[in-house]
Amino acid sequence: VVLLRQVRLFRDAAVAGNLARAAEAHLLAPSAVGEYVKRLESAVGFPLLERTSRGVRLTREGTQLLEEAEKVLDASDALDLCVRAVRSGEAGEVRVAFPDGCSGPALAAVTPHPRAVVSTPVPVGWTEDAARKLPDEADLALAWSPGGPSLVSVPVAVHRRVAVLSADDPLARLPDLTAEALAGHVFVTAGPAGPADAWGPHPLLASERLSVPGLREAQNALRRPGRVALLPEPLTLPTPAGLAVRPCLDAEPARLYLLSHAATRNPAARRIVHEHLAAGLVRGRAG
Amino acid sequence: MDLQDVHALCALDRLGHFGRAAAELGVAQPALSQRIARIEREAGTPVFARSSRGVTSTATGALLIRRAADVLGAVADWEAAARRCRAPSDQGLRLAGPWGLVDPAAAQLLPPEPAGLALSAVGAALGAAEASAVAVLGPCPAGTRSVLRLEDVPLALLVADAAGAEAADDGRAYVGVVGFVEDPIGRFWRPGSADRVLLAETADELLYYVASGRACAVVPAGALGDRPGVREIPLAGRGHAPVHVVVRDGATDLEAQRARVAVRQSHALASRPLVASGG
Repeated sequence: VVLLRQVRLFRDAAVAGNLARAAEAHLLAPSAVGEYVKRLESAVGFPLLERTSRGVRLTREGTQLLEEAEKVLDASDALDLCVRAVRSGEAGEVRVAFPDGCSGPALAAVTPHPRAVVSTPVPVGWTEDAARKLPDEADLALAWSPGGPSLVSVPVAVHRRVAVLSADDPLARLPDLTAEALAGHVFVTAGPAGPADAWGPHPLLASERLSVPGLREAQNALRRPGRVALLPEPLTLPTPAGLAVRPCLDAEPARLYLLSHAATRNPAARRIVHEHLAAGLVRGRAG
Repeated sequence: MDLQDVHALCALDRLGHFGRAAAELGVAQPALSQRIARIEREAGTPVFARSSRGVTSTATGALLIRRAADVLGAVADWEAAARRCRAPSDQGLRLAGPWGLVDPAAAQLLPPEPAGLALSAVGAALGAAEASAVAVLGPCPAGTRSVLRLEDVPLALLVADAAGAEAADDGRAYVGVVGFVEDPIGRFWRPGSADRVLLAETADELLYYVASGRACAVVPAGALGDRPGVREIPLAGRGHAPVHVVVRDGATDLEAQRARVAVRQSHALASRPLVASGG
């Protein structure tokens, strides 16, 4: 049976031309290195190194096998690097549950190593709370409000709000809107707690409010003048016919939170959360 | 991670079952489970998802298993290279020899080009590593050592078709390919009346001398096959020459062994059984 250690010591001794130097690098006695190489030689069935007065020299067969030895060791090093990357969270699968409409940019924002981390998006739709997918179905969740006590919540992004209202509404003709202008409107929110927060919270929501179960109902509700929804700006919401989208200048911005279960054992998820926490601390200090 | 870890990862991924993977690896199932558990501790995350139906790799595990498979591939290449070094038949041993001694029928072992190599070039061929071993008639050239003595290579007198059996003694010159001339003829067979020896560099040149009636030649019997204008007269009794397979003085025992095996195989392939004795 060939051992990787034997191959490594053979390679090192061949490159150094000297058992002692190879032994030094591995904190071994030269005789131990010789023993490893001897076992490798008996495994392959012929001598790989010739002992000379000044050290060791590759035999003809050893020269041919040295090239293969390098390839074996390269592959083995790549595997070890991969194990370390997985353990440190630089590589590995992260399942991210996210509310409809914030997939692309928001997901990219929470996975700082897009090349190394295998991200598995878990879309949850408008009426479901992404945080409920933790920890069984998802390692991380994106939400518009902080999670409960067993969850770690890190604010990761701030989004300006846009007003969505009926194209027939007189306000839809204005290029942008203020909170004051919207004061007499009925505020439409969709879904239970989580997604609803994407539509609020806002002091204006203290005025009359209409809660509907889902996005489709919200769109229908908004077709009547005098109703408005406030949504985070980057939401890639296809504007249905009959609706207008206008920037809302002084509405309170929406915060996107990254949630993880406090007990998550996924190293990649832990690393992503820690990096966002660290970035938040740096931002906080700078501010 | 060591190679056993690598084998364990790949086998479990491929078979999807701890019991079957353990059986294939020749280890006890608890030992395999412990090994996988240790790898998962090392990686800090599950590599396999266990269910009642069996075992499948997680997405993170797939990252590791892909690299583990790369290691196995590299190890397989290493082992194939080691096999090539051990087995001469797939190593492509380069064997040179005077033309006629190395049979082109053994082409998969012996590249056809060096088969006509002359004795004077033997040392050069070995030195330039054109050949790993050379078959020679007669004594070993300087700088080489014999690894195999092949006995009883029958020689034949090659004469012009029109000439009779008496041609050998009619005062004609003798011709041989360089290297055939000196020792085989000098030591084993020299017609008394040959007063002149021509040297031919190539088989065609030798054939030209013989067919044109200017010379006879001593060649290994049957080496030339049927050629128009010439015929062979077997040299019964004294017409035998030893053939040595030689390698460089510095060649390893393994190279010597490979040369011996390859020559024996080449003769077997060429259906020319030779009595051989180890050198």
